[in-house]
Amino acid sequence: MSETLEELQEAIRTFDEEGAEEKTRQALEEGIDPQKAIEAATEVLRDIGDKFENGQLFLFDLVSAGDAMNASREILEDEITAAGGERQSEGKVVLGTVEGDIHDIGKKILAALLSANGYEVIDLGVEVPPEEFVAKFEEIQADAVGASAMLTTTKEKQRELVEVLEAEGVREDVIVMVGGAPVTDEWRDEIGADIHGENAFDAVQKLNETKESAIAG
Amino acid sequence: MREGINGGQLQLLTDEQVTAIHDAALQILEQIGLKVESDRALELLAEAGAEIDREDDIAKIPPYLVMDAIETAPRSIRLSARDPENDLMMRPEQSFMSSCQGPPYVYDYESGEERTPTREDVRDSIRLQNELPNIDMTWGMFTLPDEPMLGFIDVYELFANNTKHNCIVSHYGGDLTGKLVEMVEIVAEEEDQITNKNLVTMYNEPVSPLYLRRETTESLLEWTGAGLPLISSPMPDMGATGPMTIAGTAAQGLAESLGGIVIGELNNPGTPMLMGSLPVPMDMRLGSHCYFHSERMFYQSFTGQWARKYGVPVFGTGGISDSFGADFQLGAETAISLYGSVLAGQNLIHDLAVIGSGFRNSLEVLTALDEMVGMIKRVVDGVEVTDETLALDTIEDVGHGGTFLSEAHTRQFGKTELFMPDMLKKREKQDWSHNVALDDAQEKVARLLDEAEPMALPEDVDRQLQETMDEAKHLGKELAVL
Repeated sequence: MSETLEELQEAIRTFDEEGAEEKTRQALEEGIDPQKAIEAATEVLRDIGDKFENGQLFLFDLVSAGDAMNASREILEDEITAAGGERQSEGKVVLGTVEGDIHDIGKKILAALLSANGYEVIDLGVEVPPEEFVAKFEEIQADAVGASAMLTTTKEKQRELVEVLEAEGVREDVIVMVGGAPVTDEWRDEIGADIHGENAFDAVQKLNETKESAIAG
Repeated sequence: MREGINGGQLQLLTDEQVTAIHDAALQILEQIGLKVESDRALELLAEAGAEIDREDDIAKIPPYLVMDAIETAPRSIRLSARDPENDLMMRPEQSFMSSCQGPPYVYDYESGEERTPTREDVRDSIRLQNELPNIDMTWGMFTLPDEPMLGFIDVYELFANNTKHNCIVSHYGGDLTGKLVEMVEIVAEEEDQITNKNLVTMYNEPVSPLYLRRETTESLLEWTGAGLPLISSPMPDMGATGPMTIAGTAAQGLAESLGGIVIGELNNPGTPMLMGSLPVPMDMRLGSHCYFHSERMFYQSFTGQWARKYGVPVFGTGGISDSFGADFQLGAETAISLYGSVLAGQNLIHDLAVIGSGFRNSLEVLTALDEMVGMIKRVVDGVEVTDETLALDTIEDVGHGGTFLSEAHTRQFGKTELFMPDMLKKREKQDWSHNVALDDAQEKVARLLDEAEPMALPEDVDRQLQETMDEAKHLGKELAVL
């Protein structure tokens, strides 16, 4: 691995967003393949994700490294797109907290863990209307859409998301993930979603399994 | 009048530290400001002298407005019950106990599993609390899933099944809050023995960090506009929605609570309000909320210290656990947090029996904790030191190597000097079995629910309440369509 990519990895490992941006730009100037740079960055985040999962690192380590990784990833993805290419990843996941709900943290943890597992994550933020999820999904042809809701009153928006996907005739083209404190397996079944993540680890594991069975099927 | 507990023996922060946190909170309000998503509230703040950024809805609130609000808020609040003999005076020197609504699951003690609550569970929880001697205020204990009219169902069931307690309800969006006020007024007007209309206290939670959302603020304005008592208390997550440090989260939480107090007192000067802050740290290994943590006692202490500093009663938290069931952790965490809340001098102590990190509520645990409150009352009652209790004559009578068992003095104090718990056993070891305290609590729950005879609502009051709920349901649907 080039020295610059190692420095990029070190920047992510030490939660240095500015350093990660700088090293990413430097890598591109040196003519390094952006796909290779994304893989190098993902490798660090995967290591941090593993260490978080087995209790060696903490949540703030994971989320901070995720932010540094994102700073780098955005530059690299722009570069790939500008060159007319497409990023190679485990899959594209559109994430957001539903309309009327501003709970950000669970979704942020999931975004970091998905990135650590090699997924391309598009985080739409909070208070995302169903139509915005669907528009983004259609724009980038995502593999999965994940909607977080932390209130009993806002989880209804997860149902609306499924309904809008059905109305657009694209329900079968996407894996729908739902999560949040009031969300249960029964709710997932009732609204016709595919995955209910009890927590971020569970969501990533179930997404991996669902993708594999979809490929096998 | 219900008697409170004279807590406040514990002060873990120095006066200088409390003042420094107070100063930091004033700095936060003046320099960083609060985001307030309500034109009405922003206008009130602007008129009073706050600096408003209309682009981002940020209100920078100068210290004098905060100090005026604290001065204006009443020091003691008469909270009414349908039965006025059970009214209570909420004030900085007294502690009162309450459960909490919020948990989405019932902890089913019989199976050890959780299940989704029904309206029947909410009703049972209210009927039980009405019978428990050491619970002072009642909240429907479960959040009904998929029930947008939850708060209305709560208020109705509270009025219909509880006569001894002031009720608590969580906040609602603007116009719906007006309908809740109507329900309170219907009961207050019809039942002429009621001294004032403070029958229901509203819990109103600013979002951390520093954000008063539209719904929260509208309900605050409606409720305080009607002069009804309101709790302004945030739940910052240390390290996530608040700073990682205890002092920093204390300052931010105080600023958030005071923001609500300022708006309420500008809206209706002298309206009864409670301050508070309930930091819930995030477990950085799991990303889960820790309802219990050993440092909770610091937060308990300095909110108790705020109450006495500001002369405004505070919301508190005790009798909670992150354990999901009947185990050592449940006993340890509920006991430590309950003792901490009283000794710290928190006033409206809620959350009793909230377990499983806020996911479960349990009638059995509440019943066991009701007894624990009795033990705490005994402790804070203190030691009586008189000639009679010093017992010099009796000590002399018994002399060297004798026994006190047959002394009149022993019979005189034998039943009163020590609290005798029913559930925490003192028994022979051959009688020991698992979870004996909660087994007893389970029997007690069944017996109390069987015996409960809450005073029925007059028929016309019942009918008016139902009609108001129907109107609210209609209004709720209209709002949902908008």
